[in-house]
Amino acid sequence: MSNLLPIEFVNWAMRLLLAQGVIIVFLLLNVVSFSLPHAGDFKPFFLLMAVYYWAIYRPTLIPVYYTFVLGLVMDLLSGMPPGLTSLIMVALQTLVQKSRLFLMGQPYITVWIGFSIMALANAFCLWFVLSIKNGFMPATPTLVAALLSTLLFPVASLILLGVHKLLPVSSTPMRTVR
Amino acid sequence: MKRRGRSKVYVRFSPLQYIGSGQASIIFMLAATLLLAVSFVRPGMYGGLRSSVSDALTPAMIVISEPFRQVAAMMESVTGLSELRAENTQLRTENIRLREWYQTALMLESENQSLHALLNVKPDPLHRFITARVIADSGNAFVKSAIVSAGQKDKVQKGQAVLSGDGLVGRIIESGQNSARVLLLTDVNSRLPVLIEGSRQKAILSGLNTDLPVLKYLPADTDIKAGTRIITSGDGGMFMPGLPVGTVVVGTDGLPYVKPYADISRITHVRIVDYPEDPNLIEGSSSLQ
Repeated sequence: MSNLLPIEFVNWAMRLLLAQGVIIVFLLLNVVSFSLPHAGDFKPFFLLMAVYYWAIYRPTLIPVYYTFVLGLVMDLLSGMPPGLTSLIMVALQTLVQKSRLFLMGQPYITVWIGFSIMALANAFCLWFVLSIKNGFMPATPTLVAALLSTLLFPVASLILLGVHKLLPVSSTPMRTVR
Repeated sequence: MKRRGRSKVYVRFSPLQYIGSGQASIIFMLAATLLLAVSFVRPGMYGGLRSSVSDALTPAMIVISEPFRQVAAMMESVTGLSELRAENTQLRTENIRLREWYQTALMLESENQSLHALLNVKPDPLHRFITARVIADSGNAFVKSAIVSAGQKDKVQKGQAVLSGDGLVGRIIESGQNSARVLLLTDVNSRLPVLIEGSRQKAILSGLNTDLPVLKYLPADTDIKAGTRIITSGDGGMFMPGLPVGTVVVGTDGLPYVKPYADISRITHVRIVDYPEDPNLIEGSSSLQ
């Protein structure tokens, strides 16, 4: 039960919904058409950016089951074998969450390098599994996508930082009792 | 006796709290592996789920893709301005040439009609086009597919051919209520029965996940020259025969690749050909009878 006033509750809910909305937008950015030549081949891993950021700074915002569902929705939308993105995202999220206390105390550059490693790992896993399924495939486009993701990560983390500042302190609708 | 203000302790119970722990990751990774294994064994199993998810998210995808489309259109108009003069000259010459062709076409059409009437040819079934916008691509280099903003409500069905302005792009593999998925010619799973114009030789156009699909199952002695036109053969009955596909490009490895007429990497709008599977369902034009 909530002990907030109705207006406080609406405020709390809207802030949480904004954060969730941004995650969904990041997911959809991964699939919507950019109307640019070859944009689909080199599209940065937007969803991974959101998962990585929140795994470090607010793990309660994307619990494991939620990452699983997000990955599954992305697989279904993008035409990939269902479960592939879920598997990679959950594995990477768990890795990051295990080392989040270390990463939180580090300068931004370390977090950025951490993301580039995650992007490369994501690219490698995608390439590896789909090469098993469909025969050998060139890995260059997905490596370019990993590079673009790394370059774009500071911009994405700025957006997510803005959302982070708006997030309510508590993840439950309870007033802090002193 | 007056009670002292104790610190209140709220005991909360949240069942989802325990799903966030380490074991949960393993459980969900196992679940994902299971789903993946099923999709390897039976790839078509998730078709319905895919359509429902893309149907549900189509409005959001249309909204999000709109700014990108506007920016692309604006950039095109800005870069187009500088080339306007050259384009104008080119269009004028093309117009003159096409006018001559128009006369030829009129002449051939009347000749064709009279010959059809003479031979009592059964007319081809009517077909119509459904125009739709591309709202999503696969977002990775391993799957070449797109989602278009038309579905079963617009009579888009699985198996229909998809064209851009210039030529064939792919075919519909899943059709939801208001969205449909197109498997592009270039996808590694795409197989298309085609005809090599001139030689009447049939072949299968097979995608490689690169820009150029390759012609397969050609007899060893087939002589194919670069620049030969490739059209759909209509074998299998799903595609209309004679749809333009592309021209042959002989690769450095000697294999006959096909350069599609449509620029598949940058399609924004497509036309879906509603071609009836059973020619008897829709009667052809009655002008010949």
